[in-house]
Amino acid sequence: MDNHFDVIVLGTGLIESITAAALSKAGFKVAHIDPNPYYGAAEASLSLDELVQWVNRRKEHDRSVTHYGELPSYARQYSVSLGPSVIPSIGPFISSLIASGVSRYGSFKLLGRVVIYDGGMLKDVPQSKDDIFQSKAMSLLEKRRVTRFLMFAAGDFENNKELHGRENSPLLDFLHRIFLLSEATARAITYALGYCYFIAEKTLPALHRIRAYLKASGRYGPSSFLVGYYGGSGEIAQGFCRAAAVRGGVYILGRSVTSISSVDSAEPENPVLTSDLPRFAIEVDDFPDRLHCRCLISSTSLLPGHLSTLADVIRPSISSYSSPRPFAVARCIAVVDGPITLPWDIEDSGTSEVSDSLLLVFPPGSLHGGSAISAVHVMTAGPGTMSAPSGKGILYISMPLLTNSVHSAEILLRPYLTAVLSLFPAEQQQQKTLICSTFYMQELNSCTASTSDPLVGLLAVPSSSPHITQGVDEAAIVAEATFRKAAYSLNREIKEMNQGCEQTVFWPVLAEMEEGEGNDMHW
Amino acid sequence: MHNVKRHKQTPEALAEKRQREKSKIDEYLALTDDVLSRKKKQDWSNDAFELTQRLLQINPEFYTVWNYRRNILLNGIFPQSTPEQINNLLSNELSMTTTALKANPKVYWIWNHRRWCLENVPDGPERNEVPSMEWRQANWDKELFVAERMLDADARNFHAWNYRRYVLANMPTRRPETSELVYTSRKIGANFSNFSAWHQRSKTLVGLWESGQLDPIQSRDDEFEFVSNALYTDPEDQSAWIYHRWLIGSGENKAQLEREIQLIFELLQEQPDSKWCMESLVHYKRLLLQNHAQDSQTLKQECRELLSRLADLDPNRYFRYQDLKRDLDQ
Amino acid sequence: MSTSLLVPQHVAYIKALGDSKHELSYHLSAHLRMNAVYWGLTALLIMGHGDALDRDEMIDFVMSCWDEEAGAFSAHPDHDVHLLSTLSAIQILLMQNALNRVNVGRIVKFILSLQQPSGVFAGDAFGETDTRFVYCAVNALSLLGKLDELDIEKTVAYIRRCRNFDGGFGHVAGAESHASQVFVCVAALAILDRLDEVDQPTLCWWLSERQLPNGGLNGRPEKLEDVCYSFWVLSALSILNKLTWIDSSKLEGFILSAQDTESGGIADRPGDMPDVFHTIFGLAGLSLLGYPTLVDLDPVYCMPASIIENLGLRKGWKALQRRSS
Repeated sequence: MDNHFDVIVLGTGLIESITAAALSKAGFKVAHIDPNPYYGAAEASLSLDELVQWVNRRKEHDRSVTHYGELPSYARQYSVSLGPSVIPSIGPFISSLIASGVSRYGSFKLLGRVVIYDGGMLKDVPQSKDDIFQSKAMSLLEKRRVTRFLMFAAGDFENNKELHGRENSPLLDFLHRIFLLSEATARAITYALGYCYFIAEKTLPALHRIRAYLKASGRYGPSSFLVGYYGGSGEIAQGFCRAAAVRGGVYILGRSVTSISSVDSAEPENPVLTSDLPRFAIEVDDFPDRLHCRCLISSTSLLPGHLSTLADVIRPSISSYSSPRPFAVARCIAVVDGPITLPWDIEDSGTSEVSDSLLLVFPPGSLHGGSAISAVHVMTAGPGTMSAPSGKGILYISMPLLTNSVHSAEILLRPYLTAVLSLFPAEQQQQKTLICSTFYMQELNSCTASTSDPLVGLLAVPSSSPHITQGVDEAAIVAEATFRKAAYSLNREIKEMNQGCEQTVFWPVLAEMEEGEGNDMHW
Repeated sequence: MHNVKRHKQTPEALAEKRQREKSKIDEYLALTDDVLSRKKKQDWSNDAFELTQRLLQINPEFYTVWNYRRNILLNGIFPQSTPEQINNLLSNELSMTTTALKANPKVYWIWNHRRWCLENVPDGPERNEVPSMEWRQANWDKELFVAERMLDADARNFHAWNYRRYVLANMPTRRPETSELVYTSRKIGANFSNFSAWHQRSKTLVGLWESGQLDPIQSRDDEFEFVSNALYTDPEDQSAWIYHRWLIGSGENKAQLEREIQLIFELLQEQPDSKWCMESLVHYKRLLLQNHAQDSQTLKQECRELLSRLADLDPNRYFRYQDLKRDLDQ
Repeated sequence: MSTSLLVPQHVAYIKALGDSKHELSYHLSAHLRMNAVYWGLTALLIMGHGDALDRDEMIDFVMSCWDEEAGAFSAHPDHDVHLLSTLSAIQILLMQNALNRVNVGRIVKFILSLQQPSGVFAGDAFGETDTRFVYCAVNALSLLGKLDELDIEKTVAYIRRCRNFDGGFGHVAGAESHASQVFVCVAALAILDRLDEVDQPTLCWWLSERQLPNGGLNGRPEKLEDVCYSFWVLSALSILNKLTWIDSSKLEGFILSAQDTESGGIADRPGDMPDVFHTIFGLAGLSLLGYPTLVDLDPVYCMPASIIENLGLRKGWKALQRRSS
């Protein structure tokens, strides 16, 4: 094997995988390495037996992770995501999915309902004018006011006098004062339309998100979001890896990198490659030869200490849309017996098929014994996305944390799990029966200040944003920025010889452009 | 031609396009000549049948060829076929035109042809030596499904609505009329700007009221509540206002009229620039005047003021508002 | 975009239509040829250029579509006869002063054979029914002076069944109101002197609400504007004497903006490809709006008003005063 590469990418998380696919498609020679035996890193999709192995490995260094219950039969038929999220139907991520052709490798469907926990019960969240029309919870006057707000949010609010001077005030306040919305409606908009994570998030970024999601609604159907099949995120990361492999990318999974060294380019190891001097040499477990590359892209979590201060950490400016970045996320993955249905779906069964991919939002302070400052999201999955066998369901519960928590994920999330189990009706019993559950804390690498004088060709990629609606779009933005920096560092030598080289395109035009997503939406 | 964008072409591009078109034209004209001369000779063969399909795939608007195709079936193919074969032929015919319909959802002739096919499905198969209605039922059920998918693609397609009404009215086993209320609720719920669905709802309700399946008084109140949700959600959308006007009708029920005037008045206070609030208030107050003639001077004055505001707000219809004002004074 | 009517371009556009045999679309629209000739000739007459197309050639074409066996006209030689093409043929021959070429008795028999027990007319022997065909039958019989042979009560009864609560009319009984069906039903009732069947205040309100902020007219609530509704809506308003209930100058501006300033013709909306269908209905609308220099159009028959007046068929419609340029 020729062990010289243009780029070596460490880690197969979503950002690294998108970057690898884009670099491969741009014609660079890529090697992609992950110490895990599966794709997707922190966003992997695992079968239940793989999840148990993952828990056991994790217990070696993280004692707060807990797991309950026996493996159900057909454990391999489950596909659970370590980083569950939804995909906005318009945005940088879906653009990348389509432009790269990766959408053709996977299946996607519309997210079902979004519901909010309010006053001890679940309520539908109106996402459009037609939802408002149909809502049974709102008064007529409230309907008028919410529609007026939605039209405001869907338009060019930047220059609107109603917003002027209030851009940084909390969104909840803004909705109260300017649009005279009730507490309950303002909460629904803030947490289940603007997807604010914390109380008192600023108005302007939330409005940006709301506008983006209102525009996204209608592209593929009433929901603004899509969900992926087979566990979602991990499957998609793997799809990007496949796209890279199709263009000659070399994949090495389940092998750790044992050493990374910076090569002194004054003494080229390989005299043949005079114009393409490697900058890094990498040793991989059980690989006889060292691998060489001119550009090294690594997930920050896989970068050895001696290099982490020398890397250029990619941090694009996307603040206009963003919620504050959490310090960590407490997560729970629970498998339940019985299909996932909302109480009112059981009542009017007979209408069109009901989705088992739902999003349930607990606003801060809404649950006794729950968090007073963080919103908690519960995403569900099941046979509808081929994520569980028939008659079973998966619950993903996540709570973003602004600071280090003294409590374990289980202590933080147990009240939510108990609440959800009693909220989703089961056929005979009072509540759904739990098959197994896993609680863990996902820590997010804080972006350490990068050095003012980074090593040429060494790029570090932060962990993906855990934001349930914004995460994948941020991943695509970071991936594009990483791609550009990598392409720039790789083209620099060439450029010196060959003046007038144009800026590399993120996704070259596909030969056969077709929208492959959403096969199940046709008839 | 509808919705075909105009674009400039250079003379060279035009010449090239013509060159490319020439072979297509030759091929099309040869096929047309072949089919039309066979038609003249009353050729009812399978070959001719195949040729009509080829031609109709290129030009589904060619009504003469649809006619010919039906005549081939009637005169050439059906006489030699068992009922089962006829059922299969017509089911195939329906499937083939489904593809054509998806590409050309507004071609009258395709809808028309499907209707003919449906009406010619034979009775059968035999059950206990008696022909059953199973073939018919299966085909009509499928047609309802197709019409509904067409309405999913374009909820305002009047061909699909008309066809759907036709299927519902003529299928061997009718559906309960109340299920149509559920269907219109669903279509309106998906997009309450869809006047076609409101229209269908009005027709369905009249049927249910007249046949005594639904209590007209209670049901009308339910409808008022239903439509007021649309009025408040988006007072600029005509569809719900037109439906509301239907519910009020000639305004004989004074209490109802006054209740609805109050509801719209409250909406106008929340949305002071709403043309449709004012327009409807004028209409309903005039109905009060006509039918119940109470306190006419105050009501007339209120109408005049609303009409003056409307004339400013909606200058397109300025003279209509002036005419209405003049009527008040007479 | 132009703010005045480009008569020479439109005349040239219509003249060129017959010479477009090198275009596939010409052949694909053969089933509409008779209608297209009627649209083109009416458009030329409205612009005062009735002689731009060769009269003998046109009459020869019409007569080549006569089907001796069926006793009616097809849209194109060797195509099947249809009520639509039969009406167009009669209108063309009348405008060319050549109605003596047809066998009136046979045509009347053909038309009357298409009336169904409900009163509606089918378009041909295969039986598609539509209020369009009621209008075609009533219009043709009236032009042929044979209305006395029609069962008027039965015909009106069917139209009445197509009337909706919004004052409009649909394609068939039960169908949603549509501006084009409002035209055919109102015009048929006008010919039959039965406008008492129309709920005039409600219908005129509904028609006036077809005008959108850009001046164009749509055919149904919450739909897009289209130049052809300039005729469907305007003709009905004109027959009911309520043309002032929309903003005529804005509509005029909209129609003119849909002109193809280079090769002539009018499209469904600005920037789209023109065709003869939208060209005649755009011009018909402009004529009713009193656009300078145009010839008066009869909104009931969609033919030059003078021809209808000569036949003694003029009804009580009103157009806007013709402006002097």
